Amino acid sequence: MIRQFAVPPASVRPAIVATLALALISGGIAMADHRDTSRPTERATKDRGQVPVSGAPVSFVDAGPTPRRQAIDFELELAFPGREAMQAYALGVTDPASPDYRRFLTADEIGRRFGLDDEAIRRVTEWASAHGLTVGDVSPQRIGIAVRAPARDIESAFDVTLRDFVDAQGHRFHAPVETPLIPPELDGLVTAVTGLDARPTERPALTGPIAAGPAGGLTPAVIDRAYEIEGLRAQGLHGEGQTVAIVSLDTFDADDVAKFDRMAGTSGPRVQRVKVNGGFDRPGDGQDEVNLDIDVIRALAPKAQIINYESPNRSGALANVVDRIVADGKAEIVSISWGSCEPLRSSDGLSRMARSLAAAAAAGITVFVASGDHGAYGCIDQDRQDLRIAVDSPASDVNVVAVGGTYASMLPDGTYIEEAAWEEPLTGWAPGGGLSVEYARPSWQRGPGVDNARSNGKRQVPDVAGPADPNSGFLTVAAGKASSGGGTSAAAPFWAGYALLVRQLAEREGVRGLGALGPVLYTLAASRPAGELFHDVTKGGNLYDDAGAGWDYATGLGTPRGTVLARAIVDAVKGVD
Amino acid sequence: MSGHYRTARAVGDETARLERRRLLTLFFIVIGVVLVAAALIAVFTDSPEPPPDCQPGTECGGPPGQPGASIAPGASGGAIPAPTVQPGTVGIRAGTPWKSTDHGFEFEYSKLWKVDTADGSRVDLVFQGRADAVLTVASVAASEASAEVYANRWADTIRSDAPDLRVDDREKNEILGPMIGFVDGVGRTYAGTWSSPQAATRPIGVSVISATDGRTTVAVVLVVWDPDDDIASTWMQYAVRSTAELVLKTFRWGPT
Repeated sequence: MIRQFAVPPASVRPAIVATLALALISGGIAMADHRDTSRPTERATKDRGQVPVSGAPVSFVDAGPTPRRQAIDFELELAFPGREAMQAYALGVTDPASPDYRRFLTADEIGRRFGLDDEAIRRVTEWASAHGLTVGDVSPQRIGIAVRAPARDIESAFDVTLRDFVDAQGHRFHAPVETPLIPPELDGLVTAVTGLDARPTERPALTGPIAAGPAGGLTPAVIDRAYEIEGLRAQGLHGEGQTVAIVSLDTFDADDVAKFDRMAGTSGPRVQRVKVNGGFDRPGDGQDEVNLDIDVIRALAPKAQIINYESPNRSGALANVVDRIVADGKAEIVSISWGSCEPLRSSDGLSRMARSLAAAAAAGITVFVASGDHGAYGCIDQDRQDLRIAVDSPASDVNVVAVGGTYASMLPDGTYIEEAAWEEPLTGWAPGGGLSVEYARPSWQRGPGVDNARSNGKRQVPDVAGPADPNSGFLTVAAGKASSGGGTSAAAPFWAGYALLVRQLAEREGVRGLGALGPVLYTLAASRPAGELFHDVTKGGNLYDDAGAGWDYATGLGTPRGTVLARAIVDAVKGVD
Repeated sequence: MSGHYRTARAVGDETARLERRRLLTLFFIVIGVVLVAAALIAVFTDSPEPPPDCQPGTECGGPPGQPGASIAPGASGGAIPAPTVQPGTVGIRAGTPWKSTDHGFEFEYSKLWKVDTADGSRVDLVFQGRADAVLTVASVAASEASAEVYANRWADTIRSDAPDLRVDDREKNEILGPMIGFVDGVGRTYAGTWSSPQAATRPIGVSVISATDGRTTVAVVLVVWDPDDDIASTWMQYAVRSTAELVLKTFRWGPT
């Protein structure tokens, strides 16, 4: 029986600007207008008179020519003759049946084996110098060359016009109004000029902070119990001697990390910064994301060395940072909480990213990537009306572990009750998941639930999951304020932090490096009873597909049962299983 | 047995006694070997898993066979068994609980909402923020209405105060993956003009989600006044909706 609907009383307008503003933060992120502006390369047809933009039109104001003396950092993307061979090698290092199994390569070995030869590199750098371009680092894996030059020299060298624009958020950026032309002298040597478009192309997979988190967010002790990490702690594992790289498109304030340490009762090595593409002088709009990444890893593996690789948010930035991490060779675990809707990336942008991530896999690096925060509708945070079914990139790449998200239920001491796939139908928040339109499903992605009614031979996202709902979010501190942070932005570093403990356990038993973990996780899940190594999440969904037994499009294989899964991974890598 | 032994000893000759001694000696040797063997087996094989580490304040000893109740085969190296909880245990609350006495379901709502009126099957919550909005959670027996019927019935009810109420087909307001308590349901968005005699005429946005577990059919109905007003970087209806998600996520259907 239905009663008369209540009329709202007149007194429902108390001034709660602050609390409502908190609720609106996620909406603000959802409305952010970041588009990938990568363009066709080489001798593509010029689109004179307009800023080349993939996807739907965006709003920005032309602010005039870019000052001719303004120095601009960008990249010459090198031809890569061994691209397919490198991808095959990346698969081989994780395949026990391959002669390349666990024969990880250094960045230099990757470059010499799959990239251009020394003479070709020399020709490129000499051409650049002759045209007024200052050549910076040539990545040892020979994927790209960092270059800096005044706007006027760039315009001359690549027959392009640079102009400044102001977007809806008031950010000023420069961008080419035509596709840069690769001169004939570089034919077969350079495939693209990237990074000239300084418009932010990636957005964080971050929700919250919110006011209603459980007891201010998940603390290290609660996480340890809920995800059965206490058994690893009992063996003295806290990340000692391990290093993790965070891919960041912003920076952080060290005081915030110190405050987190005080609140969480953690301590560890000072977080290091590595500037890429010029880096940052001070934290910007994305600092919440950076702090969340740091704090979640700190909660899982407080004694590990965290290196925050920081690049301005511009086209090609993620690939640039991954290249730098591989080149440095310091970290074998990487966390990425930034991404973009796959269909809005150009094929060149995807190809560039794929190359960097394949090199990482060949080097034995595991890259955990947030699967996105809008469920099956990966593009709606770039355009609220874009309801196409789409996954996020780089989560869809075959050389990463894509991390979905859950709403975790537990007792105050961390005793695990259950998890559901994080799902918010009224506002469209949920773990990213679905089918790539670009990448074929890798041979190792198999097991219960993987073959389903929607399978079409393409890469399926995500692979695993971690806590993502801000209502069961993580304690984090940014801009001096503590809150509970969530999104798959939290789930990716959760796995990265956990992987540091697994790697430490492996190292203690004489195993050097884990290698890319994706194949191992699927092999283990398929060979053990359901629920033994992972919490199999069967409730909730991604706003389109329901979670279910075995693998699903919202939580993948599930969340880790820390100690038993670590044991199984190490045994698998050692060849015990 | 002992009685028979005594009797035999009393009546036996020397040969018989010697024979019995040999048998006794053999018996004790066999027993000894068995005990030593058992001890060796105990020493050189895996010891059984330790009992669950039941910490103060935790609930231990879930139903046998429940996933997570024990360490998996092959686990070793300091693994601590996962504590288990009884089915139906409620974890950390993210909001204020409300329970239907008629149908047994319960959910939590954020502090941005306050109970206005309630009975055993329905509660009306009023938004406490800088917006006019009402959130109703109502229920009937599943035999009385399916989710589809109940959702339509609620739209009709609101239509009595907003006669021009119509389906809002704008993508920005679409309800994606409608569910209540992770049970899939139906979801629709409407737009119209509130023209009740008790209040000034104002535009409204209405979100209706309905689902059923086969015993109870529940509707979650959100009405937001001035839904398209700009607020920060979003619009009013979206902002208020974000505060109502907790109801859907924390909704626990009544006992079966």
